[in-house]
Amino acid sequence: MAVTKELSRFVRDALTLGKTRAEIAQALTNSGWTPSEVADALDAWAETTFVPPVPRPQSTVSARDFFIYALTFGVMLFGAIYLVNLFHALIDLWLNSESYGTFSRIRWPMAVLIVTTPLYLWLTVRERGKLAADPALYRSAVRRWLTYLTLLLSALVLLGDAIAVIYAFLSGDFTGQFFLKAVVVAVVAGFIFLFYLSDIRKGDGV
Amino acid sequence: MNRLLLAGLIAVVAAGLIAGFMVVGGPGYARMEKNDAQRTRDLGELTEYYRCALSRTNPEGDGISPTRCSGYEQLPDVADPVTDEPYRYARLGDDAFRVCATFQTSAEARARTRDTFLTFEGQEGCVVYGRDGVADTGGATLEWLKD
Repeated sequence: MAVTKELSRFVRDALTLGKTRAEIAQALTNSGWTPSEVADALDAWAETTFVPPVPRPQSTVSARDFFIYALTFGVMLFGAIYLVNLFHALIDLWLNSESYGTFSRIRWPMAVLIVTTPLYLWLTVRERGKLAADPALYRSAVRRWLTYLTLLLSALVLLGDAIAVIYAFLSGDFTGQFFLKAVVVAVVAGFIFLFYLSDIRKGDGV
Repeated sequence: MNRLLLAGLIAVVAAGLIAGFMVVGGPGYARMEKNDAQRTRDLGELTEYYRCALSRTNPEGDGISPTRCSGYEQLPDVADPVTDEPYRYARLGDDAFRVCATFQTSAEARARTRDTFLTFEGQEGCVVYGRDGVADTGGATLEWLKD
């Protein structure tokens, strides 16, 4: 939970004046702050007798992070959508060779993937190298938000996929072609979900 | 775990791209497809022109002017996009003709483009037109040309 500037300043000043944590917590509680807000406000400062109070590391927001992570996640989203499209077109062609306009449905995703895949890999491997060299980068708020957004999107896609399969089954449209397409969606979304889940768990440990 | 997933991603994308290239071919094949599409359009135009020419020289009984012929008074200036040779036109009788071109892509590929008004024999594709709806040869019906 975010700690407001005024609250943070108050806690710092109180610690500087030599008040104990219990006294500060009592004062804040009496003023109407909730226990979780009080805990967050106090946790922002290290438990040491050193004066002035030492701040604990906070999550950071930087324009550079926004550029790198928005680009990485954008490229991944774009590539994932067209990876699914490519396999869907190939499945259509394989199971129904009369399917009209299939070649352009294959060429465009190929063009997208030829550009996005190397770019995504380069950005990801480069970022991994930077994170290994400096774990402080795990505190990037932009990175965390975009990672959770990706987890949310892939979880929603997986749910939608499962619902579509059940619906197709109930309405009698459940064909082999449909099943293969649903599997493609599940594999791509599952890949992304697992990848970023293990990523965020690693980041939470820092 | 993450390394494994990244390697999996590379494998999946590579498999998709290889399958894609195997199915759609390279840029040379794409150009052949475009040339064939151009030939199909040209044959359609030529068919319209010859249909109208046929109606003018040999009007059907009532002598009314041929329908949907505006813009087809002149022979369209079209030729094969690769060889630049004129398309082949042949009269099949008083009321029938055909216009043909040599196509480049395979029959399976052409089957996907839905050029249903074309009849194929090997690489040669023709529009066979008969004013009674059924041509003298090939039995191709061309209802879309008639009112």
